[in-house]
Amino acid sequence: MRVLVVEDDDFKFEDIADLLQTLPLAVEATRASSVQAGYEAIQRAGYDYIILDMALPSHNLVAGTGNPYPEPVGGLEVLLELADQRRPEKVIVLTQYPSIEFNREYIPLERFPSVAAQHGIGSVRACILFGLDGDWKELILREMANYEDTSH
Amino acid sequence: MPSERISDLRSERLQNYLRGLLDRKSDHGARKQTLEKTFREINHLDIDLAGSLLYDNPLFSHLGLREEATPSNLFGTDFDAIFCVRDEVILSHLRNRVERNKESLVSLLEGHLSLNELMLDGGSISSNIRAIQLIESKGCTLHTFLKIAAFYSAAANKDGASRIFEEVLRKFGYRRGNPIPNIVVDTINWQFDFLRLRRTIEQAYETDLHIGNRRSITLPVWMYNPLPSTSIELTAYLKLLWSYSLYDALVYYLSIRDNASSLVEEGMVLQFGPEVEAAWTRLKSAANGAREKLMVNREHEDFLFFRASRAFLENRDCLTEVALGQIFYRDAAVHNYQKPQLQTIALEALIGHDTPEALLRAGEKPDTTDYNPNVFRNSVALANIVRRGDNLSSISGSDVAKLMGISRDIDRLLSTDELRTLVSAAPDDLASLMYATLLRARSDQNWDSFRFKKVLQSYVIHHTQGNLIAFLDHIRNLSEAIVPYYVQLLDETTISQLHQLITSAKMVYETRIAILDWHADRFSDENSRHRALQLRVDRKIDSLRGTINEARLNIDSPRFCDWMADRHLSDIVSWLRDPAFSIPDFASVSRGSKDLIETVELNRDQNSRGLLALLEIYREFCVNPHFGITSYLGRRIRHGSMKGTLLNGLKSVRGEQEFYSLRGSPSFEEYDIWLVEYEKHVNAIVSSLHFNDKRDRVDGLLSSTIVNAQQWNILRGAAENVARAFKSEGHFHGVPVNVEHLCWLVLEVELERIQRLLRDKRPAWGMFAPCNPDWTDNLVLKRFCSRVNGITDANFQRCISWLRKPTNISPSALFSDVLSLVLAETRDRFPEFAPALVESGLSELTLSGTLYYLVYDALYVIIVNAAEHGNPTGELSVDVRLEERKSGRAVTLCVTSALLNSSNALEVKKKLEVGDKSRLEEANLISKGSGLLKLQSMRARGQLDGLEVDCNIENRIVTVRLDFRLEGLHASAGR
Repeated sequence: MRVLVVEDDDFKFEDIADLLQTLPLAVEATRASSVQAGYEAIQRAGYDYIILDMALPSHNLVAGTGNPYPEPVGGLEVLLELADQRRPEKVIVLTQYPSIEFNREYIPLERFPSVAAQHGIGSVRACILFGLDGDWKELILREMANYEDTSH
Repeated sequence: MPSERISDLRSERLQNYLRGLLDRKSDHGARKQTLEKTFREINHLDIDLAGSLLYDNPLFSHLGLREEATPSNLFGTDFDAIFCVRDEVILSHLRNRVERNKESLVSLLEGHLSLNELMLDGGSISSNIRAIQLIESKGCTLHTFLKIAAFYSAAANKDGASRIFEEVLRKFGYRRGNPIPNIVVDTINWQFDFLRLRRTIEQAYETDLHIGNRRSITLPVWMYNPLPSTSIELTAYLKLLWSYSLYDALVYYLSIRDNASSLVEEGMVLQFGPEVEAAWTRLKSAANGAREKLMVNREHEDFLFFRASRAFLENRDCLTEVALGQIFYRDAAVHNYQKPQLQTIALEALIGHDTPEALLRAGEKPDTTDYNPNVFRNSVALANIVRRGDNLSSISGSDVAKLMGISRDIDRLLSTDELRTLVSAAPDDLASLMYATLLRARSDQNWDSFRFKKVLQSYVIHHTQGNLIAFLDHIRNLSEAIVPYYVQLLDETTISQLHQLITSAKMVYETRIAILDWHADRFSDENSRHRALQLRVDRKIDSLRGTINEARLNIDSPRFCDWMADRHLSDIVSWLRDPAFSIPDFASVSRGSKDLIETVELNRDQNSRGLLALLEIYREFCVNPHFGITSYLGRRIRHGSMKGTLLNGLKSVRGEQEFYSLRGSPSFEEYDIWLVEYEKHVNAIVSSLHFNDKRDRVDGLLSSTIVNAQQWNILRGAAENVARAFKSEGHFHGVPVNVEHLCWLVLEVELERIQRLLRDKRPAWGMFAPCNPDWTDNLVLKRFCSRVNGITDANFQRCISWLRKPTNISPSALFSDVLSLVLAETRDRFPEFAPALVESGLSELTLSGTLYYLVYDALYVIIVNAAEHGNPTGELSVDVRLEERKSGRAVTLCVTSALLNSSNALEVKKKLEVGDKSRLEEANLISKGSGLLKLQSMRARGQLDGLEVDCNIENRIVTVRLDFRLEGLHASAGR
């Protein structure tokens, strides 16, 4: 299973990577740490799942080149790009904020998949609140349990 | 009339109400209720008699209805309710009452005719005084009051006329604490922000229904939208004006009937008696020439005329002007526009036959700095063309660009639905881009913003080889007028979101620098040149430091600037333009800015309004949930990221191979207890990392109000820089960006305080210092302890680094970094330059602010001089200090370098005294001057507060001392 993880926080990515290792399937995980890296990753390849953070920097951090721009809902750019290209990837939004600003309204996480679908973004399978308590892991595993390997 | 009896009324209920009203001792509330019921009960059968009884019969004189032609107390507050008969009988009632009062009404009509003549044709002090005597003898209606307000606004302070008019206005109610007459005056007075006032009114009175039955609601609404959109609105406005006087209702009705007849439905057309009609016809023509008379301040002419026109609705030109302006400024209504409204009919009468081709042929060269009547008209015409449903799909992109260049604010005039339709029907890529750009500015939809970026990138890739500069050149060839829009739009925030074109953070800055350079060159724009230089120096320092820069705070600059332009730009620009521009010192502002806002709210002078606007802008910059700091603080720092990062590695560290031997050690219990406590402290600090802007959030560490002298002085200095830039540029395009920089400077003080607080917390609870002696005796435990503290140190440092402003915005740098950069660049040029550097003073001084690169610039000149003319391996001493002076704080920089052994000290001294024009051109990043001339020119421009150059012949050293006054520049000791 090919998984793209769009996540800038190291601690969060490490937790996600650890979780993916527990899956019964072989997982090929790719990390993108910024909106730009996420954009490039989806141009380059296809994935079965995308685990997507919402608040991201615009570009990867590179020493000595100035700060990338923080984007509070940068993950939306990746979602819109996927929708624009009519891509089949399933997206799990994993964020640390209890709502997502969409069309200048704050949408609670549980409502976001349906609101996004109403606006032509049908790829969001789940929208999960990340916390250090680890409840999110169960939710991701539940979502990924529906995965059917269609590559053969 | 004695013969008229209550019992003759057909309605028994009406009889009862009238009998109730006979009671002269009834209380105010009961009388108000009965009056309301009485008017509602009057039907067409009773209209004549009921009117006679209520208005003319002495039995009802205590109701105060007898003075119906002219009110004795125009803005009296006895009753806020609007008493009037039902809609279906209102015109019959009007005709009856006009007929009954025709003599006094004719007299008033003639009085206003004289008023127009005296003020519009005469206008001298003596004619003004005669006009005022006339008003005092005939009484003041709302119509009269509006005219006085218009002349008051146009008079400004010329010849003392303003004072005379102000006194008359005061006599009739215009004074502090009397909101309704104040709103009436402010709506017309060009010094007040029309849009902001309107929004305040609409918010305050919640006029969702637009029309109320209370004067305090409906009058302000009418002031902003005096022309009715529907017949229901016409009736409601008629009732409102009647509540002031019968004369006001009459003149308003006649104005609409004759000058905007399409707004009066068939069956609502009334004719009055010949005397009234004749007097009215004379009055109508007496406002001719109003534009010329009222256009004293040429800078604002059409805007001023638009505002004053509502006092002259009897004149067709004035009414048309209101019709044009009303739709132009009713942005909320325009955004929700779905179907043709009646008021557009008035517009179409004037411009209904325009076509895009005709507009292009007439092509007015726009004056983008102010309101140009032709650009204004083009804008409404263009909006009307779209609204009529004319097919614009045949208009090519290059013509659309030209149309945009001869109009303004099209995004505000069209609804987002209309703009979206234009995007989808655009005939070519450029037209699509133009429409998508307009849509982006107004739409709330993420898809619209996304599509704009896609369309822009696609256009740039396919038409200008992926080069944004080539794109700007291309746009410039089509219409110069739209270039500033794109230059402002393509700031770092927007560029950073163009993921197809811009592949790295470095490229974001390089592209922005290139755009600013391009704009500076093509349009001789000094502000762009300065910003480009500032960014360039910042990039160099970043590159020299070679560190990771991860500021997580930002604002959505385009949205912030749009918001500022909508709400406060007018107040700020008027303030900057005011010769009396000033900001009080902090000593006279003893309380927080929140209290100050309340204080200045009452103070209506230009300075107070400007300062109030600035403080509100700063507050919104901090706490606006959509574009402000708080949004980034919440999503990029507070929620999860900060806690996760501060805890990162502290649980897994025990699993590291090095500490395997400690597994199961009872000593770890102390670590576990510490970790639990540490997490509690982390939770506490993270949960308080927000603005204390609401009552339920008072525990917040950050404040959106200015509460200390340091922030106030920075605001003061930065505001003076904004005013200086505005005056030197001569237009307001740079104001929003400069005000944004000001906000960052003020916020930076707050951020530094939070950084210090976090640093202070670490020794208190962020370090693991076990008490159990095992930890000091056992080497592995000691290493573990050290490792844990290394992790917390890194975690704290990382989180602290997030709480900085983005470096490109009012960039800041350690003085030591600036010095290192200058030395490195000098060595690139003079490889043998290897001085013995002696640093003293505050090398850890942080410099920030809009002009901080000036320190770099001056230092570069001095050190390159030292490298070229001095001893390359001699001592180079650099001393930097922060000094408190009477005039404020200053940075003092003193550089001493050794002369070459072969140099003739006397010659050097002489050369220093005259300056060498021929060298070091590259040292000067701003102008073509060089070396000492450059420093001297910086001094002359006020960029340097002090400059001393001395050559000590005995010691063979050159000393240069520079003083930088801390205005736009901000400095603090240490980071």
